[in-house]
Amino acid sequence: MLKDALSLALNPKSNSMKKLLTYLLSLFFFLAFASFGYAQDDEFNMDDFAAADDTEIKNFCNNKVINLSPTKLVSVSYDFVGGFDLDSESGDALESDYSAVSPVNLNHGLRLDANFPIISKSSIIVNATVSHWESNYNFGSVAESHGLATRLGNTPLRSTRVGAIVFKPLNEKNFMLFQFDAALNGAHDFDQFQPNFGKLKYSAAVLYGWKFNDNTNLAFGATRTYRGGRVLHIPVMLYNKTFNEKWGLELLLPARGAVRHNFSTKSLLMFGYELEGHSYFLEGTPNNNLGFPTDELELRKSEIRTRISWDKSLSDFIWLNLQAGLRVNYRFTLDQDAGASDALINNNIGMPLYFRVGFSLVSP
Amino acid sequence: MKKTILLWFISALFAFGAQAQKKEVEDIILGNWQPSNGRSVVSIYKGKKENGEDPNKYYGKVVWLKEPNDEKGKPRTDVNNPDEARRKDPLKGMIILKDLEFVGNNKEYIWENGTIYDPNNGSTYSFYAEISRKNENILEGRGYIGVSLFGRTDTWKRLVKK
Repeated sequence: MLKDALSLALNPKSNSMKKLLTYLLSLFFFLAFASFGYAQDDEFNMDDFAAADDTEIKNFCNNKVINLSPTKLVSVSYDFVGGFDLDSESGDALESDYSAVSPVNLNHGLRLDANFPIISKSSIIVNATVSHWESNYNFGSVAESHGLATRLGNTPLRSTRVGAIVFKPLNEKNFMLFQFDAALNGAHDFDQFQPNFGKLKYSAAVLYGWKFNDNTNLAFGATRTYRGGRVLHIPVMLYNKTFNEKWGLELLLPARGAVRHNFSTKSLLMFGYELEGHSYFLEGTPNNNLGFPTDELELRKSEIRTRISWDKSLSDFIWLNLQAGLRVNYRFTLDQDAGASDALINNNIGMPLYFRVGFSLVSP
Repeated sequence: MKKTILLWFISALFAFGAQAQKKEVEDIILGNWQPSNGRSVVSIYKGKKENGEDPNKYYGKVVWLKEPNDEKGKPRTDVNNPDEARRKDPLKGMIILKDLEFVGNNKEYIWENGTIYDPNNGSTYSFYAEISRKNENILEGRGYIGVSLFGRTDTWKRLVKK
């Protein structure tokens, strides 16, 4: 049968076979073109394509490196610091000798942080920042004539900050970073609160940086900061480096630094520290006949939080953050005002353990 | 009677014309687009019923990657997918843009209600796209969470055959 068909096909004199051959050839070419067309659709070859017009789109670097810890848009967290003694003694600015010790059972407080994008494009990112932190001191007992303990036991330390962060890429490699905020810090109750805007504390930073590749960025600049408790004008360095899929480094010195271990893009562990500090307006702190030269007192508080921190995605955008570590005191002094350098009262607040739990909405 | 028929005919003609024009406008988004980082090309197409897609919506497939292979020289896969079973899916050919609907008109070319998947972190975001009437070769795409305030805009450029 097959033999007959072939012999017929090979016989060009047969009319019906001519038709069959024409049909088969047509079918062959149709199938060949159809499969060629399909392959073109499936296999995109970049060499065959070009931009549709000459419109220039300037390419910019972004503010991230691979596997960087997530940018938190809104965070709610609660901070717990274990027991310690508030051990106060007279400072260099106080003529009389003084000492008092009051035990603190727990130091705790709510922290709300928001980082709202106002403009978020590849050419510029402008975020408005708002935060409110509280720090309550639960004293086991307050020693007689321990004015600072009385004051902190009555009203929590509160810090409310409003500011902005601007990331401005200049091209594919260089960028600038600006940060500004104004903070109202004090120990006050909201029902009697009379905000004294003359006591606002201003912080700012400006950095110029390089994004070397998707794993590394580096920036240098200067900052005006209260992280040391009193105002400082110091250099600052940002360095983010991802070594491989698992390990990286995130530094914003001197404010914070950490080694990062990524279990995945949805779960990471950080080993490092953060320097936290503010200067709080403590008007009306009991004098205890110590002869404070002014009623306008400032509590200069600065502490190093050495920590292990775990960030875990609970859903696409909701993340859990757990932190545990030591709170190391750098400065906790009662001073005359924002500008004075010598303390009226020096305080030792030990090195207790701390723990923090928080939830965040993270950025795309 | 003749007038009524004429009016009906003219109205139908206008309606048909407007519908055809709308169709033309909403399909402006079709084609190959390159995000600003230049690392990929996404081909936007109209949904195909046979793939379980809505023929009235728009979808986007990764058709080209600047770095198609991983560090080991193997084709890159969706290693960050939250669904472990899908981490071996190849990135090239992945449909990352889904369910985008034209919501604009002849003056504003806007597509909304879509989602876009970011293989860099395994997250899916809401997606909104806009093409300027002045230049139909530039697409402003915004991935966001919940409300478009929480998002980021990127500029995509249309690619055509040389």
